[in-house]
Amino acid sequence: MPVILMGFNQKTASVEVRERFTYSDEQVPSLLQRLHGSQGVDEIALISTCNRTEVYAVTQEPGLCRGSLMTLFEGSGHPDFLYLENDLQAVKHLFEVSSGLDSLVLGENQILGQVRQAFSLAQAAKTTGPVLEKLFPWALRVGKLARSQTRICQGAASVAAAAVELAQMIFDDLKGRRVLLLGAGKMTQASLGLLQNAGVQQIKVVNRTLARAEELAARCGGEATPFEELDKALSDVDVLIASTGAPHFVVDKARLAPVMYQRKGRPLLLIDIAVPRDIEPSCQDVDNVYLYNIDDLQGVVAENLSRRQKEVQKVLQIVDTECQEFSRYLDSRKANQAIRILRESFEEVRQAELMKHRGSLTHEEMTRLENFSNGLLNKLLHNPMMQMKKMSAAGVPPEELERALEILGIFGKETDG
Amino acid sequence: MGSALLALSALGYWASAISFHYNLFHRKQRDWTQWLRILLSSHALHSLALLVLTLQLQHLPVVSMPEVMAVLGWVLIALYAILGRRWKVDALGGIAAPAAAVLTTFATFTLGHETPHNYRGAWFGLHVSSLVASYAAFCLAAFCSLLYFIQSRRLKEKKLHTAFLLPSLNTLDRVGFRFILVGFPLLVVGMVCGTQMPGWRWTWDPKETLVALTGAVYLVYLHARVVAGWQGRRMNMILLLAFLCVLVSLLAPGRSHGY
Repeated sequence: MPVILMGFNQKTASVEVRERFTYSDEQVPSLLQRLHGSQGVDEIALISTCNRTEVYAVTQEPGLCRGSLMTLFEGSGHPDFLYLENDLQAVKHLFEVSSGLDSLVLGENQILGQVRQAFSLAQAAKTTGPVLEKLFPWALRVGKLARSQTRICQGAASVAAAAVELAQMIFDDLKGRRVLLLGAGKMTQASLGLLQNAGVQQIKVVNRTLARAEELAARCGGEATPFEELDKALSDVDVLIASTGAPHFVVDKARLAPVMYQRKGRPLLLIDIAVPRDIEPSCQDVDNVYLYNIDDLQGVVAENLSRRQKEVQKVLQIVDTECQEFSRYLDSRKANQAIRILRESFEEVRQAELMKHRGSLTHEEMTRLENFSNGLLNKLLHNPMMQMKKMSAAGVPPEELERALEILGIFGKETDG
Repeated sequence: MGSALLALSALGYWASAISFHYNLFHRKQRDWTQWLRILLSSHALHSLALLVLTLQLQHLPVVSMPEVMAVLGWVLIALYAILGRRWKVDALGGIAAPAAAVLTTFATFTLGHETPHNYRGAWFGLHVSSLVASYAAFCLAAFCSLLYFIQSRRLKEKKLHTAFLLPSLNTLDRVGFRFILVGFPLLVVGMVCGTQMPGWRWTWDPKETLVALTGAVYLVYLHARVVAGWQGRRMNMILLLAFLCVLVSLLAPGRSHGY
């Protein structure tokens, strides 16, 4: 039973196209039900995120199915941004997606939740069947396997995430930690957002202009502090994020040394994302001070991403192995189907023969005949069925099993019909 | 029988140490289940070995240096398994397992070859056991400090990809302190029990003087940490210095001590 994938991602489609064909969780169920009712679509699921819209369908009539799926992208003119994959290529693509190989940021974790959500929506819309019910959980398993057996998702992949990761390596739990914002640049606010998500609660804002400090403090629920009280603020907080527009160092070693004495050895993380820099580089030499500037953080991110890149081959190996496993599963399903056809064909003959004697025999005789014929059928079919199962397990393609049935004049009946 | 079991546990500790470092440095993963399984199995063997030794000797195996080393290794892993893991410093096992391996290997090779000493009653048993337990806690605190310096260096050098394998600086600092809170009272109990032994008096015995000095250094640490609220690099340096005193006092000869 072929699996068909049709869709686009950030590599093939511009943002104008992506925003046009991105569907919300509320829209997806009705969309799936509409497509499920279309010609040739037996099972269907849709992954729709800001970076991709992909529809996975299972069909017995690929031509008709493709036509039905195209209606999803109606009005797109020449859809050269669409890719179309069949069978194992489609399966492989889904496994790559769930592993994070196809994501904008290699190995990111969010996609795993998005694949899970797509499957839940399809289940809720009752548009899944035996193949997708197996395929999606399998893809989620492959995604988890890739992340646990390789380092594809290790290390922060953005400057803001690197800042949070760094803070966690020093303070462990960020809950209740205090952050001082020196200046009010855009990057400060991005890092602050992540730090707040990680549990940072108390925020102090220091700026040359108190009014601007108060403005940012009001926006992030912090407290504005006059610039003159910078030293006092430094002795209280755990993390300093500096991004002023000052053309000189605002925090230097001479200023930091007495502050660190007051801190009694508590570590202080300084993140300097200003250009030109706000913090004198030699502050790094002060005990218990950890200074990172924008280049350091970008360096960490670049190093992490290059490490992730080196893991791609390992993840591809996992994807390939799992693809083969899934293919074997599909084959075993086909073999089971061939066995079912064999059994049904013989059962049809048995019922026809029984019909001939219905009426001429008593009820008791009829029951004995039914039992006898059933037993005979079971005995006759036992060996061929076992042999087919063994052959399928040994890797004989299901097409050969179907061919054998065709020679016996069994398989042709069903397919022709 | 006791020695054979001890030798087996030593082998187990070596295997767990190798498995730990393979996982950490080669695979760069924090999945330590397999390593922990080997460590705990070795510890079970170690417990059995000490039980057999106790039954053979008819008293606690703490009258000679090899016996004390075997017990020290056992307490070290027990404290690590119970407290270290509870306080989320699994990485400490990377030093605790090889340390236990060295101690048990030493004990295996020297057990039975040492000059025999007498077991001098319950006060003696309590004196040595408490001191050994306190030394094990001090060992783990020192290992925390060691990891603190490694982690601090990695963070200063901006090697985050290896820093993430270790616990955070604050955790290491806090757990080191907690081990001192466990070890210091045991040290005091051990010293007090020693003074209760018949005929004891203060004679500036080198071993006893060094133990008192060790206690004083830990007291300074506790004062700075609890009363003055200091932490961080300097506190961890004091911890390492105090541990140096522990090692010296353990190995120093004593006039009234067999080892």
